[in-house]
Amino acid sequence: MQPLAPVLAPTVRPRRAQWFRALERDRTTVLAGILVALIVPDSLILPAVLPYRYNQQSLDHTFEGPSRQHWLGTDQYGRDLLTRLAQGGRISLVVGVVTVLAEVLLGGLLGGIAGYAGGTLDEWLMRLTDMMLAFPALLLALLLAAILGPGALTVIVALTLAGWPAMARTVRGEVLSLKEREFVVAARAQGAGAARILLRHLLRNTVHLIVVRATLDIGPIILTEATLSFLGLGVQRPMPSWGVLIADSFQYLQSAPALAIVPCIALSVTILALNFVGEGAAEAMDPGVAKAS
Amino acid sequence: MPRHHRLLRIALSVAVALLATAASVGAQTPTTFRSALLGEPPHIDPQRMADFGSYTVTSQIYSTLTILDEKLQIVPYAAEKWTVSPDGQTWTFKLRNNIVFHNGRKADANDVKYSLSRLASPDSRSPSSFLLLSDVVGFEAVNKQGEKELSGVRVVDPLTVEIRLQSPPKGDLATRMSHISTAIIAKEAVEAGGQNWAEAQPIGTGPWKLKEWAHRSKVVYDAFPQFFEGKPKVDRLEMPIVPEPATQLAMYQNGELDVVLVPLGDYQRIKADPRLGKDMKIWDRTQSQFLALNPRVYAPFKDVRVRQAFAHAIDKTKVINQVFHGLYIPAGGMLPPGIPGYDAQLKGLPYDPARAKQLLADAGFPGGKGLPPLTMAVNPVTGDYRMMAEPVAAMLTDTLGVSVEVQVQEFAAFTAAMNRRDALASFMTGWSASTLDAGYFHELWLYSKSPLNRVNYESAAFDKLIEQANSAPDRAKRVAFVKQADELITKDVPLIPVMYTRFVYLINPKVKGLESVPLSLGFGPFRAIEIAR
Repeated sequence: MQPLAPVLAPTVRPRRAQWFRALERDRTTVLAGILVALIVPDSLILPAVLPYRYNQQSLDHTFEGPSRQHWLGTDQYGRDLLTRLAQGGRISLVVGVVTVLAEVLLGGLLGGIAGYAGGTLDEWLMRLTDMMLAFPALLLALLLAAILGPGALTVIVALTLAGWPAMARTVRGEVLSLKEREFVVAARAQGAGAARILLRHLLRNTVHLIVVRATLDIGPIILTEATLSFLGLGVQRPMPSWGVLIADSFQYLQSAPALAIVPCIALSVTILALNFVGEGAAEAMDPGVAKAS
Repeated sequence: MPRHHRLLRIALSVAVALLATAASVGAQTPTTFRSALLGEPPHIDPQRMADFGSYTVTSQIYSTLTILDEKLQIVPYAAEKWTVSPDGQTWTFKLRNNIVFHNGRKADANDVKYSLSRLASPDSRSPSSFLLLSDVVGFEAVNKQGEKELSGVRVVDPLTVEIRLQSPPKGDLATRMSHISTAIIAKEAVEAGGQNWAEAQPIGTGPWKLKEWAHRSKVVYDAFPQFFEGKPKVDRLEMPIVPEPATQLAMYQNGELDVVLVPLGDYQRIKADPRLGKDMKIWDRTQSQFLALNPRVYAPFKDVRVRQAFAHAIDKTKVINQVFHGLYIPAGGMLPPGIPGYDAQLKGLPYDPARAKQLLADAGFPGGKGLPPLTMAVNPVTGDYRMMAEPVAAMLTDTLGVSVEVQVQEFAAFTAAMNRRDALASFMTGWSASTLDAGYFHELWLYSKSPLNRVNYESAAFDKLIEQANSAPDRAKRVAFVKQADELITKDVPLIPVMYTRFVYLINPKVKGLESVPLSLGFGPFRAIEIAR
């Protein structure tokens, strides 16, 4: 008998070239993608490139408007607003990406195991995710901040714990539907062990779903981080998370509103752009999948 | 009935109806005075008062024998007069004969004896009892040995109380009797209410009767008709709890508050505003703001050279001029102006970054190497501390190389952490006089045996000066020792005084009778306010 030809990834999903073209047709997503492509490197590079440190104060130059030395002006302690904004972006992105990676790892693995194993393991894991999904992320973060103390790490831990259940469910769902497919049956017939099937075949074919989910998650994660920092539970001063910038600008709302408006715009634009990119990618890869989960 | 009679009757009834409505409407709208609280009061027990929130609330509900007036004089309040023996040891207070509790019962000398005895007893959990009563005869017996009544307080007759002090007395008892912790409380309230009697049974003799304490939302009072100085001319007092100064300001501009502290970030704008600028009032304040250093949590602070280096690294004048618009005064010692013993010539350690670096190197941390990151907690109760914390933190980082993290917590959490004495490495806060006496600053904060010694300062030399000041035979000698103590603080740096503040308030021009005092939050109890219609 001929060895079974390795069956390719299910051809239901559009090939790479196809969905790339679909994406291009969707102009909103492309625009959003360009924005993200601008914001991300800026946030990462600017703080290193600009001549100011984020906590470099100059009490003789407070509340200055935009100028050649300070493109966005200075804040209440004479610190460069652009530097602080970029540094805040760095923090948001780092927290966002790390959290998403952690929840992908945790959620993806647990969800994959649950989906593949089935039976009581699946049942218990799903009960666990149900419990965790019922717990509001913000409350969880507040609790953890009280125990672990405030800081970026606490935020990452809290958001990972809050986010992995949804990821797990997505992955589990996909794995469930894939595990009876021919290529999996074939692999099993060839004697592949569970781990190998899981990793090499099943999870590899859910990657696109994970990527879409992850992209959609970054926005809310960044927003929650800003909220926590605003409340004093996330990043601590003088480190400038966007949430910290917004909180500190409150008392100057009537006399120097730019200090509040600028970080608010940065936050909104970033989250919006990430959302559009995520949804657009989801639509392109598999129309309807973004809505389903 | 003839037609004109009918018309007349109709017209009369309409007129009467209109008059009645007008009268009832006029009578119905109660006048309300609204002043916001900057944070949830941790409690409303006058004997445990140690923060603005509890002071503001308890000073409305309870009354003391004496009170400080606008001219900084101690004047009669519940006591109508008092005399003191030549040796300063026997004080006789004559009470007013119309003092009534909020539950209707008349108050007399027995209630004063009960209140002071309870204050001295450990049941009161008072952080100020030692400060206020330690020289009263019988204090030790009540405070440490379970006695229930202060033997040194004698009821001569229902309206006369005699208080005997040990020799040498600790100074002016009349001043100490203006501290809200000595207020008259009702025995039946304490016994019925248990440990948290103050919230369950807030029965006082003050101008305002507590109507409602909606936690984290507001405190509401009704005017007490039988208040011994006469029923307040305003019907109701409301204190919404609004932690953000910016929100308070917006509420004032909306007409929802009658007085508000001006957030200094808006000072220039408000001063220039044609309408608001006129409502602004500035007056002196007996408050000093400082950076407290806690060696129990941050080990390098055990070395005086490190503390001195920190002091030399802060440019107080710069911060005041640039951040606080020059409105405040750079601090020397811990005592603010207005406290006997305050010395305007005492300057403290000057801004000297070179000296700071040298001291740090001498202490074994050259360039800041080896100094662990420092957490600076900030009292959130007014914007001042937050506005001061970051520039000071940046100065410390720039000059000393220490990395500083500024932590802003909620007020009740901050106070609890501070009082634990082993939770905060350093904190930015202030202290405001509620009686014009140095003991309230020095002894309360830095005496080794004080329960509120939040920086865990243990200096035999300082303790000795406090004891000498307390046993000084007259005021002049006491002031001399107080001055020495303040000077020692500037050299030994258990805390770094940064500035003395002033009150900058917006006051509704329709409000009359607000007594502005340099104490606490700027006002005594709202006992004489009126709102012009």
